[in-house]
Amino acid sequence: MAEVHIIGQILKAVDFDEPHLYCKWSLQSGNAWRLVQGELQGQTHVSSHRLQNSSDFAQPLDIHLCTAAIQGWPRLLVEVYAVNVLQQCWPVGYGFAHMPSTPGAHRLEINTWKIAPNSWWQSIKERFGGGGTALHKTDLLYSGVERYKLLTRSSGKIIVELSLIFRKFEEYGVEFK
Amino acid sequence: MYKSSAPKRTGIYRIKGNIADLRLELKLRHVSEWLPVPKFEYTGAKLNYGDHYPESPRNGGWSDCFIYVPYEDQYGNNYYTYYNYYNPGSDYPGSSRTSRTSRSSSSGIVAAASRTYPSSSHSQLGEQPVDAAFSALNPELSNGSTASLYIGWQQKHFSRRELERYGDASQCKTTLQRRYHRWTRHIVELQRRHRLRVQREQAEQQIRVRRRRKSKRKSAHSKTPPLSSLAISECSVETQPLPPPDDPNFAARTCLVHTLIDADLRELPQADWPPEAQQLHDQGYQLMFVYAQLQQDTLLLSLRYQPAEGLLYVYPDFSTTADDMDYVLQIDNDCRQLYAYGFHLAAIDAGAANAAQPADQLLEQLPTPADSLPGSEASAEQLVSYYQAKRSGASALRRLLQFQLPPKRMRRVTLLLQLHEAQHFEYPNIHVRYYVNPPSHTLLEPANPNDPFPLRGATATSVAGGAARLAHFSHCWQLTLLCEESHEPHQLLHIYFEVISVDGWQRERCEGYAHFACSLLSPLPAAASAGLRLQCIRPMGSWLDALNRYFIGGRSLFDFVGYFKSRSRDNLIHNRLEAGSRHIMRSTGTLLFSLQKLQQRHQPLGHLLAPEDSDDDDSPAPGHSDKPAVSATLQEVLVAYVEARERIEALLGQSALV
Repeated sequence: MAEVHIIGQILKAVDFDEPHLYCKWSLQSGNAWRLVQGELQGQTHVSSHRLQNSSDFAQPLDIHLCTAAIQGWPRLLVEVYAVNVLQQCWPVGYGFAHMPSTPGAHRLEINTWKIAPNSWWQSIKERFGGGGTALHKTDLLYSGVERYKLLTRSSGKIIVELSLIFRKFEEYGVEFK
Repeated sequence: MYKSSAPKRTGIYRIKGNIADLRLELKLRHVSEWLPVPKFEYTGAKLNYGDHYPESPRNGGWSDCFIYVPYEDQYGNNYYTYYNYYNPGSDYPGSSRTSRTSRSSSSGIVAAASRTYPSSSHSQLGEQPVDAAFSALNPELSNGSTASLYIGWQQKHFSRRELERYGDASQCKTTLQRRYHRWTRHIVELQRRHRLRVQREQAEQQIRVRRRRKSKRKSAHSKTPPLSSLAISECSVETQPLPPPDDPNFAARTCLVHTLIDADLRELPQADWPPEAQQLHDQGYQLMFVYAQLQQDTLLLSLRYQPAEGLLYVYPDFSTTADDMDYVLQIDNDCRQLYAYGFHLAAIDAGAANAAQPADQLLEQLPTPADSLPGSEASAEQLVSYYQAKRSGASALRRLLQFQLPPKRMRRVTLLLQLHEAQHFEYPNIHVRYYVNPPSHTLLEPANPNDPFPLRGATATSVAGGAARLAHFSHCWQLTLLCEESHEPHQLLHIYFEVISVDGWQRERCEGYAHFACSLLSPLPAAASAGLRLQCIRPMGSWLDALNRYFIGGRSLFDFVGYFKSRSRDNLIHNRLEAGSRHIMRSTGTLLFSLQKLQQRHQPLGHLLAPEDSDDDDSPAPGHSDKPAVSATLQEVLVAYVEARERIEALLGQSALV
């Protein structure tokens, strides 16, 4: 089986409206992929920056995957949550990105979005009371035939730095073009 | 073919039940036979080599031609051996027969420990070469069958020499020998039945041939009888000897695999013990060695069990399944023989001794790693078992599946597509719909079989985004296509984007169209993976269309696919001064779109037989070359030749029809 090493870090979150943020991340892949070592999901600490509109995470990633097919190439799902002084937290950004398909160093900027409030009362509640709308089922994030019915609002970005090592792909005739 | 054997490591397992219930399944098969590539050295017609070599008993006129074969001994010294090309059976030190036993495997594929006691069957076959004698004794293995055998803990399997020795009751003096004598009767009976079966089938074959000849003679003298009047057996043309009857359990009958157990060691003189067996036996280990009686006796695996600690040491380690045949043996004789073998733990539980258990259930019986690290008070044994279990679990995962290759003469192309963002459109609340148009001679491999429309989709709607504010989509999807052989690289994959805004009154408006095309087989531009900014356009329309768009909304029927197709096909120049209003376009916003591509071609011949590579050992075996072209067997070449001939015949037939 071919192998992929994903080494890097979730560097920071930028351009979010909320100051105190943390990020849940998970790596999703097809059925032919297996985790050899490392963690497929995790969560950063809560971070905020006093001067800039960014939250530094520096969450390390070290994942070793093996695969029996090139279908189901892994993708990184990030979920950014905001925390207020009452220790309430709510999602403020969902984002996806494919893992780069070439080995080496990469910098990913994952644009995120959040669920748009669908009523006036919800938007007031989000602005003052804390807490936005969350998805009841997370599979709605990446599935759905009529996806345009999902109303979202643009949010900030997550910066991820990755170094990828591929192994044994050439033995199975895989080319990265 | 077999690029390397799996790394050989000692597996350590904690036995929870009774060790006597341990049972492993062993599989062994012959992989290939390579002829040596000799280097000829002409030493002169009248050279007297008596000063250097002892006199050969058969010095003929052709004995001056030698095959020069370099080799390397176990200490890394380079030596060479002269083989008499015309008289390979001669007995002087340079001949193949004597050097065969002294040579060691130089490739390092496997450290084949060999036992040097001679085989009685080999002595019976006298002057035959070793490979021929082995083939005569093991026709099934030589014909490509896989030997499969279940071996229990301290279960005795006899070699041919032991079979002969214990078959004679007069030589059995001790209790163990008399017990072995009883057990050998079963194998002798098996061999007798097999001989009878072969003889019966040969007799039937001769009868069929005789009937065939008789019927030919009759037909020559009289009128040919109708075909239906002949029996089926008479119609068959059998001119060649039948292959031996199928016997799936031939390994037990031919004594191909035999064991050396603790009880044997007690009766053997210590000089004949395997290396380190004495020391381990003194330390209280129970030992068991499994050999294969190939061209030379070869150690396949060794097991030792420490009853005090309940630990079982296996070298090499168990495979996930015996079918993987992870380990490779290389035996150099007149020809270089490659064998592959594998073994796995079939049962450790007395209640689970059924050999037909699926591998998953058996794997669960292996010691599993604890969820967390052992604490600081953990003993060394606990740490060893923890890391051992963790490592075996990881290696099992890595060898879980065979890599999926595309069908022959096809290429698999996986596209990773992503829509990042959009901006500068007239109205906000946009979403993007996309349509993929793959080129001809490609097949779609849907990632989700339940998806009714795998070639089209839509992003989520970005509320208040797309106009002045950036609309983040971060929408990913994958597409896998199989390119047939007749696919031409200039045929492009087309992706069409349609940007639609929906206002508060649910009025849809078309905000723009974009198009992207790429070749499936050519490399993508470097910017494609970083992100391409696609300029969107939409029909300008007349002033009435503008009023309709502002007040009523709605999407006008515009064949944007046809528009982009005609543009790419006819190279027509469309501009705002063109008379046809349907071709007057205006620029709207932009889309940020990225694309990554992976291609997979079918591997050349012989690669499919290559096993999963070593898990941790990156360094290739010394002296072992990585040349897939060399690894193709004759059979594979013949198969490829037959396939190519059929294809050419099919093509010629089609052209003749046309």
